[in-house]
Order: sequence, then C-alpha cells, then structure tokens
Amino acid sequence: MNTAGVRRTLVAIGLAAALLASWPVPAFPQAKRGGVLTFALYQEPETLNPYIATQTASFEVNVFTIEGLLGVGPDGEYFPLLAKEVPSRQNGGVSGDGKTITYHFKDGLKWSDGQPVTCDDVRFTWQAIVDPKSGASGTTGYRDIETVDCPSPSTVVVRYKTFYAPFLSRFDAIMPRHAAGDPAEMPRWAYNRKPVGTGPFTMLEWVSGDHITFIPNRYYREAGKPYLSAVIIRITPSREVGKQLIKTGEIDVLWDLVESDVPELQPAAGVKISSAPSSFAERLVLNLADPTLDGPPLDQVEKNPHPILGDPRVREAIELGINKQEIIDKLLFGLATIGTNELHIGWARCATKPSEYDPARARQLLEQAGWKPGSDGIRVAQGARYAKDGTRLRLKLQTTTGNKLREQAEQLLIDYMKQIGLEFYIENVPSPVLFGSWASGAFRKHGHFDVVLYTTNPDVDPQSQVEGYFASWSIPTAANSGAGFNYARWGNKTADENINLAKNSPDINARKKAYCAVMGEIVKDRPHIYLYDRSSIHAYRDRMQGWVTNVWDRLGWNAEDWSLR
Amino acid sequence: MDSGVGGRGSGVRTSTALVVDRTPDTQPLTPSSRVRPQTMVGLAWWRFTRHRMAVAGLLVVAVLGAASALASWVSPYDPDKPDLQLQLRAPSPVHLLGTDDLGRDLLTRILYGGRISLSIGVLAMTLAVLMGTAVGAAAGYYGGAIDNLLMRFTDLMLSIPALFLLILLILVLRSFPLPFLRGGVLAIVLAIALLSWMTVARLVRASFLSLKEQVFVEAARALGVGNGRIIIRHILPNAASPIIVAATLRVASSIITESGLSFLGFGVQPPTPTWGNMLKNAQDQMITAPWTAIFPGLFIFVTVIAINYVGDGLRDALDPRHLR
Amino acid sequence: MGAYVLRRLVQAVPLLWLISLVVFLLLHVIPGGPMAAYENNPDMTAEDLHRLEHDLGLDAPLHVQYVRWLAALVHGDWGYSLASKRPVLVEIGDRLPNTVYLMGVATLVTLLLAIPIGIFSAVRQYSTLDHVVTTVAFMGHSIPIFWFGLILIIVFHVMLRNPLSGAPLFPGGGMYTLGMPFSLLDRLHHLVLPVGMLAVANAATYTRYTRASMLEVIGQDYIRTARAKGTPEPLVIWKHGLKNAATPVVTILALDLPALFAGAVFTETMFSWPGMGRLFIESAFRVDYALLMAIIMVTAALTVAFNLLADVTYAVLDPRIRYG
Repeated sequence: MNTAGVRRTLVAIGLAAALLASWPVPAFPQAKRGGVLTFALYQEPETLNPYIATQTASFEVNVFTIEGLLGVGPDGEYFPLLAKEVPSRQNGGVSGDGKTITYHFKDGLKWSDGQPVTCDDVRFTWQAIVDPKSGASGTTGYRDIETVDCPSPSTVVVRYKTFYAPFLSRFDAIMPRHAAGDPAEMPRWAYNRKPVGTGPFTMLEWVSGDHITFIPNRYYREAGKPYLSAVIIRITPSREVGKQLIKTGEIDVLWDLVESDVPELQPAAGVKISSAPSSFAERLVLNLADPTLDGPPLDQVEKNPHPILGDPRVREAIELGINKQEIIDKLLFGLATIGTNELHIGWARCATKPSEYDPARARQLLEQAGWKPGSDGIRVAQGARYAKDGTRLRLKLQTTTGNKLREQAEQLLIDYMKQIGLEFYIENVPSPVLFGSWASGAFRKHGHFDVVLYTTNPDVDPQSQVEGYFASWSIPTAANSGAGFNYARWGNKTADENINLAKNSPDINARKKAYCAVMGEIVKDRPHIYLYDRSSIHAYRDRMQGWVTNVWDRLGWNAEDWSLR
Repeated sequence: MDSGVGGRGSGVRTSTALVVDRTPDTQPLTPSSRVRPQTMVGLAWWRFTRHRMAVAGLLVVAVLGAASALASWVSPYDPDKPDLQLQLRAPSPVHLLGTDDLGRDLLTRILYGGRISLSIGVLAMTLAVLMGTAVGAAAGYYGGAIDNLLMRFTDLMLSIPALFLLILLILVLRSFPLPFLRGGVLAIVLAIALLSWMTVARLVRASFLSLKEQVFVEAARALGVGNGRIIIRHILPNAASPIIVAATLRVASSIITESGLSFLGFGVQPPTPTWGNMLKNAQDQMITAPWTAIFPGLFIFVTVIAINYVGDGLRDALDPRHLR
Repeated sequence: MGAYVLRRLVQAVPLLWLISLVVFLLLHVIPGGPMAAYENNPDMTAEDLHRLEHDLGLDAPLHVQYVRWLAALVHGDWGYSLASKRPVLVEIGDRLPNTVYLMGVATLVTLLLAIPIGIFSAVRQYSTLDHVVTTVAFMGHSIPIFWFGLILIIVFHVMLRNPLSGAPLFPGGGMYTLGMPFSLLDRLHHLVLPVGMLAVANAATYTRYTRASMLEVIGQDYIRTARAKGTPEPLVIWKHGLKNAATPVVTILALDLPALFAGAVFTETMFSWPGMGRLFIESAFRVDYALLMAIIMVTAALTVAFNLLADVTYAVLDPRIRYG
C-alpha cells in the first residue's frame, strides 16, 4: 500500500476507534439473565395502593410494579419514566401561564395484563384521588386540577385551575381504569393487594406475614429487561433477623438500617453497605410563642412571645452550645452529616454554613440577653427581654418514646446545655401523641411545648414542606382547624414573600433563588435548629449487580437493571 | 397452699406440737432451757429469726435500700452525665460493673435506679394494700351488695390479661398532665396499684368472713361496740398477719411488674434510670456489651428473691398454723 | 351440671359486655390515636384529614362510636385495623395460632417438668433432693422472665456456637428459618429458646404448687389405706397420688391463662414471634383502636371459656364437687 493509502487506513481505523470509544456503553453489559433476588423488609406493607398507603414499606414493594409519568434520579432531578420527556417551557410541555401541562406517553406502553396504557388511565387516577369517598391521603395539587383531557390516547393534557408549582411531582403513580374499580370503593379494591402496573415486575403471590413474590412483566417496555427471574420480598420479623440473614447470604437486600447496624455489617464478608445522605433532617423545633396560649395566631404570638425562646439571642446560644459533630461521631458512628438547613440536598439545595460549636460565645450571648448564672449553675433572668426576673432558664425537651438514638441525643443535649447554664428536662411521649391531630388535642399542634426533637423531610419538590413549616399562614390555630405545620409559630416577611414567589413561579431558577432566601432567614432566625441529616443506609450482597443509590426514591427504583453474578 | 422453702430442711425438725398459738399467752408445751419472748411481736420476731434465709433476705434488702438511698454518697459518679470517651467499657477496677452506651458508670445507675424501682414497689404496695383492705373488710364484714359487687368486679378484672389492662391504664394515665415525678412514675404506681388491690381485697375478705363469726366479735357487739370500731380495733389486728405477708410479697411482684413494663417501653421513661428500662436499652448491645444486660436484671433477681424470702419468713413468724 | 354450665355461659355475656365498655372508654381517653400516621404529611390538607376522620367514624360522639362498634361486632364485623386496613379478625386470625402454638408447647413442657419433679420432691420431703428442688423452684419463681430470656439469648445465641458451622447454637428469633421448606427439626430448633424462657420460669412456680398439693394428698386417709392394703409404693404414688395432686394444679394452670399471656408477650417481643402478644404491643404504640379492642375481647372471651372449662373439668375429675 502506498503512504497515502496507509494514512487513509490509519485515519479510518482512528475514526472507527474514536466512534467505538464514544459509543454509549450499555449500563450493565455483562448482566446475567436469571436468578432470584431476595429482599428483606421488617415491616409488612398495609396496602399497595399508592394513594392510600402511608407506610414506607408499602412503597418499597409497589415500586417493582407501579410507575408514574416521571421519576426522580439520584441527583434529585426529574427524568421521564412513562412520559417521553419532562414537560417544560422549552419543549412546550408547560404553557406560558404554567397551568397547562402536556405529557406524551412513550410508545407501545402496556399494562402487565397486556392492555395498552392510555391517557384515560391518567384521567382515572385523578378521578380516584379526588373522589370524596376514595380515602386517598394527600390530595393537594390534584384538587387544583380542572380537567385531564385526552386529545389522543398517548397525550395527556392536565389543566390546573390555579398555578400549582410542584406539578411535576404529581402523577407519580398511574392506576389502570380497567383493573382497579369504582373510586368510591378504593379502600376495598383487589388492586390494593395485587396491583396491575407498568413496572418491570408483576406480582405473583402475597403470602401474608411471610413473603411477596414478583415475576418479570412480559409486557415491560424495555426489551430484554428485567434480568432477574424473580424478586421475593421476605417479611422478616425484625431488623435483627434481617442482619443475620444477609450475613449468611440468605437474603440479598436488607432495607432500612440504622447507623448502629453498620459496625456489625461492614466487616461481614460479601456484604456491601449503601449509605448516602438523605433529605431527612433531625431538628429541634422551637416554640416562639408563649406555651400557655392555645393555638395562638401570628398577631397573638407577636404580642406574647415565649419568655425564653422569644429572644433570638437565646436561640442562637442554644445552637452554639450544641456540639453537633460530636453527636454525629459518637452516636451515629460518623455516618450522618451536620445539619444546616431544610434543603441540604436536591435540585433546590441551598448550601449554608453549619453552625460552630462555641459554648463560650453561647454563654456570652446569654449574659447579654439578661440571663445571669444562678447558684446551681442554671441561669436566672435578670433584665431578660421577655422573661420576668427570677425565671429559671429551664426548657422542656420532648421527642418520641422508644427511640434509643433520640434518647441518647437528648442526654447529650442536656449535658451541652448544662454547660452553658440552661436546663433541659425531658418529657417524651409515644409517637401518636407527638404527631397527633389538632382535634385530639395534640400539644405540638396547640403550641403547648418548648422544644420538640424529631425528623421530617421535604419531598423532591420542596414547596409543600417549606410552605407548610415556615409560612406565616401555616400556623395551626382554631380558626383554620389546626391546619399547617408552622409549629414554631414563626412569622418572617422575607420568608413569606419568597414562599409566595416560589409558589407562583413556573421558572425553576427563580424558585431556587426564592427557596434559598427562605433558608437564609431560617438559618438567621432559628425557628428550627438542624442537628444532623440522616443517611439512608441499606445493605446488599456483592453478588448483586446494578445497585444505584437513590435517596429520592425507593430501593427498587431501577430494579429492571438488577442482576445477579 | 405453699409450704415454703427448704430452709428448714437442714435437720431441725420443728415439731408442730412445739408452738401452737391461737392466742399470745400460751406457754410452750415442751421443756426448754431458753426463755422465749412473751409478747406477740417478740415471739414473731423470734420465729422469724429461726428462718435463716429470711434473715439473709432482710439483710440484702436493707443493704440495697440503704445503698440506693445513699447513692450520692456511695458512688463518686454522676448517673446522668454522659462521657463519650468511655462508651461501653467492660467491668474494671474503675468501673466495677462497666459502663453503658453513653459512658456512664453502670453500678451508679443501678443504685440510682434502685431508688425508683424500690420506691415504686413500696408505694404501689401501700396503695394496693390500703385500697384492698378497705374494700375487702367492707365486703367481708357487711357482705351483701358490697360483697357481690367486689366479687363481680374482681372477676371482671381477672378476665383480662393484666398486662394488657396495665398498658392501657398507663397510656390513659400518662395523658393526664400529672406533675412532679419525672418519667411518669406516678402513673406507673397508680396503674400497678389499681390492678393489684383485688388480690389483697379477696384475702382480707376471706379473713373477715371467718373472723366475724368468732366469739370475741359477738361479745363486742353485745357490748354495743359500733361496727366501725369492731372492724378496725378488733378484727383487723387479727387479720393483720396475712395482710402483712401479702404486702411484702406484693412489693416483690410490683418491682417485677414495673421492670417488665419499662422493658416493653411502657414503664418509666429515660433518662430516669430503673432496672427495667436499663435492660431494655441493653438489648441492642447484647453482643458487644452483655454486662449492660446481665447486671440490672441480676439486681432485680436478687432483690425479688430476698423479698420473697422475707415474706416467707414472715409467714412462718406470724402464722405458724400453716406449718403442718 | 348442665344447668350450671348454662348458667355460667349466660353470666359470661354481661361480663364480656362490661369488659368491652371499660376497654372502649379507656382507649378513647388516650390522645393521639390513629390519625397520627397522616398528621406529619404536609401534602394532606385539612379537608383531607377531616374527610379521613369522617370516613373512619372518628368524629362522631363517643357513645355513637361505641354503639356503632358494638352493633358491628354482633354482626361479625369487628372492624379494620387502622394501620393495615385489613379486617381485624384476619389480623388476629393470622397471629393467634402462633401464640397458641407457643403457649401450648410451653404449657406442656411446664407440666411435664413441674408435675413429676413436684411429686418426687414431695415424696422425698426433707431430703437433699427436696431441698435442692425447693430452692431452685423458689429462684425460678422469683426470676424476672424477661431477664431470664435475655440471659438465654446471651448464652445460647451469642456466646455458644455450633462447633462445626460457627453459627449461633440456637436462633435468636422467628418461628422457622426463612425460605426453608417445612422442617420439623427446624421448627423445634426455633422453639427451644422461647419455650425455655416461658416454660422454665413457669415450671418453677408449678413445681411448688404440685409439691404442696402432693404433700396434702400424702397425708390423706386413702393413701394410708392403699399402703395398708399392700399396694406397691410406686403405684400408690403414681396412681392415687398423681391424679389427686395434679388435678388442682392443672386447674390453676387453666385459670392462670391471663398470666401466661403476659409471659408470652415478653417472649414474642424478644424472639420476634409473630403472635398476638406482640400484635398487642405494636397496636398499643400505634393506638390502633379496633385492633386493641378486638385483641382484648378475644383474650377475655378465651379466659372466660377456659375458666369454665377448668371448673367443669375439676368437677368431672373430683366427684366430691357438685354444682347445683
């Protein structure tokens, strides 16, 4: 061959090589077909109906078969699942006023019984949720929908009456009209025990108290998947038993571990731990209002602040006096991250500086705030802003009973506060009492508390959490029958403005900025003190391939990619 | 029905003919070189001390009670203050029984815990005995409607497993804002007392039923003594012995009940230590730190045995009739 | 006899009704309740919550709720578990057999241990064996059952290992090994520790009862007569003695059912046994009204039934007892 020819050949080879190198590599090229994967749950699901279930376990199970229009990835961003793409202004899926959302189904979608998936199923899902007799929990957003139109079987047009900012989070589960039933009978559907879905698996059997078996859905939209020949969900009697089983290899996936399980499982042969920061933040909720008042609205709160916690300097001192890192290191084996604000991960995350541990400064602040050291080390008011002279710096700390980690944390908190001259005393209650309703007289709702310790988390779309917990109109009072979660009874103009902005803006960047402004106010004013962010910890056997940690969704979110070596 | 423990089986045969007291003034029938005490109480005490294990039990209870009450002097450690450098240390010369999950000295916590466990035992017993005696005396003496009511009511209570009822009661009592006494101690005491007074009542009723037929009661009535006085001044002292024995044994069972409830999570709440909730906490650490589970329970065990032995001794001392 | 049984059955009805009333009232004083599961969800609007409350009938006045519940009960509809939404009877039906299984085996073991040992001990009263038995029985009677269970787990599950496989000697929980086909050996393996915990503690108590009962029997005339007739001693003991001594013990056991339930609660909780005791504890934490009421009613009904059975059996076995 002459030099020109050689050069051409080399170039050709080079091009071919470049092409091959850039070819998208299939995710798991060596995925072996077949095999049965065993998944351990220590809680039996109550029902698999996605709009009635409240337990996490129910969702861990129904994820294998029930899907929605969109999914959420590990980065906290939406991706298309049953829809072809995520509706946005750019692709015309979202109208100018943000009230009309158009989804296009992927081609050839079928239910696990072979019936085609159509827009009518989406309409049916909406109708079932808003039906007054259906017993659906969580109808926000769906109630704002005016119509669901079906210009074609694969096009869904959802028209909202008013702009609903978290619209992407709706329709995260589609129910089939032909395989469900009358919406008024929803709690009694056979679907609740054996759902028909579009996911990679379909249920074969559910032996109560023992196991649930899933087999591949032969109508699944991705050819060649799922790889597994079955997924068996084993109901284990307890987490303890689950830990034994994963060590011996009798189960492949162990759901929902706590930090104290890790030292035991980490060294075990063949066991891998998946730990990633979740959106769950453990925090102290401070009551800014006088605790003797019953459900005071904002104007009353301003006139009658909490004698101790009403002063922001005291709140700051409390936060400075807590050694958050020590709690994480000693109680959580270093497996959590220090708490900063409500939105520490996700698309709307807002990075704020974590508080320092500075007990000396805390003591200084308390002195300035008019709390002088008393004879037994606990400070007494002398010229404090809201407290009468002689009042002890003493606060009630409450959390749920029966939670060892929280009890340990409380002990540490008592000790930290003692060192700055504040006395915490404990009065824990069972969780139904702490989380009780206004009607049942729950003290958290009615504002009869000082400090409450618990965990809560925002959804993928933070609107309902941020508005529910921090908007001044979300303060539970008799006037609104105790609706709202602003237990701290915090009213902040800047926060309110930004919450409204985020609520009404279809521009995602504008919303991000607005939420960050709200976080800034929260960090400054401290209606909540964020202690630590829990990690989502699970364990799986190393023979399992395809595991991708996603704290925004359930473990089985990518079950179609799972395989066994 | 119980003929007691084998403390007597070691060779000293107490012949039943030795001391048959129906009244305190009978002289012993067999010759003896020892001068036996003559008063009722003295005689009872003498009989009590013949029971070796009972004396040992009394000693144990006394020592434990004193150590718990004086815990702040006995132990140099603070039972509440966490020391995160010392988490879950095994027993050593510095920490005789080791440390717990927050680095606190276990022996110290057990002693402070003893305060709560023992006080709950005694308080619950006192309440139960007071209520039970009052109701049982009325039922046994007056009979009729009161008696019927008591019997029906006790039947009712005995048909539901006590533990279930106890848990329900505690959930109810805790929802009323009971001040003072952290950790819901008062609720526990009330709940336990409310469920154990019935046995005492039945006992007292039975005693009264038989005693009220005695001659001395007839005599008192003939003399015009009022019913109230008869019950309190005449019958009750004679019914005292089974009540005292029952009361003692009730302390033991109350301690076990409280520990059990705390173990399940319905008893005294942390941070207040009790032997029961220390056991509950220890469950997570059984593999790495078994001493946190072994010792609190051991103290419950030893205390209960000791009290039961004392009860046994009291039974022998106060009511030798049952010895046959 | 038939008239007696009938009368007792008729008496049981108001008793059960009264129990239901008491339990219903107690449960509804407790704050919080089943709505708590929904309370923490910011997606739920106030209207949603009210709607759910209305659907579940929780917003009606108390007496209306009670009447509704009672009416439903009579029609066989015992309501739905507020947590799992499944019919309460199905939930109980799933768990009750496991509890019966556990308690049945434990009771059998208890009797198999207690009766022979108790009789042996009584026959050889005051011997070393008797002394040992009575002391051990006393200790077993005093031991807190949950601590005993913890010790069993520490020794037989954590410390002792199978020399071949290195796995724990006995499993730490569950009724059988998950995923295995039915194997009697496996079931027995999982029974050892829970039954050990329940049976050994109870056996101690019942050994004492048997011993005392046997001692009484030995002193009776008919034993002396049998011996005088020249009946070989073993026959005297085991034929005449056993039947008469064992009967009251078995009767007490039947009457003691509620207490056995309590023991089962601890065992089921510690060994993750899917039984009714554990269901009760879980429901108590969640304040699952319907389930709690149903469990108590079922256990109360069982207790009443067993009481009746015990009385009747006693009457059948002991011809001296005659009920009008």
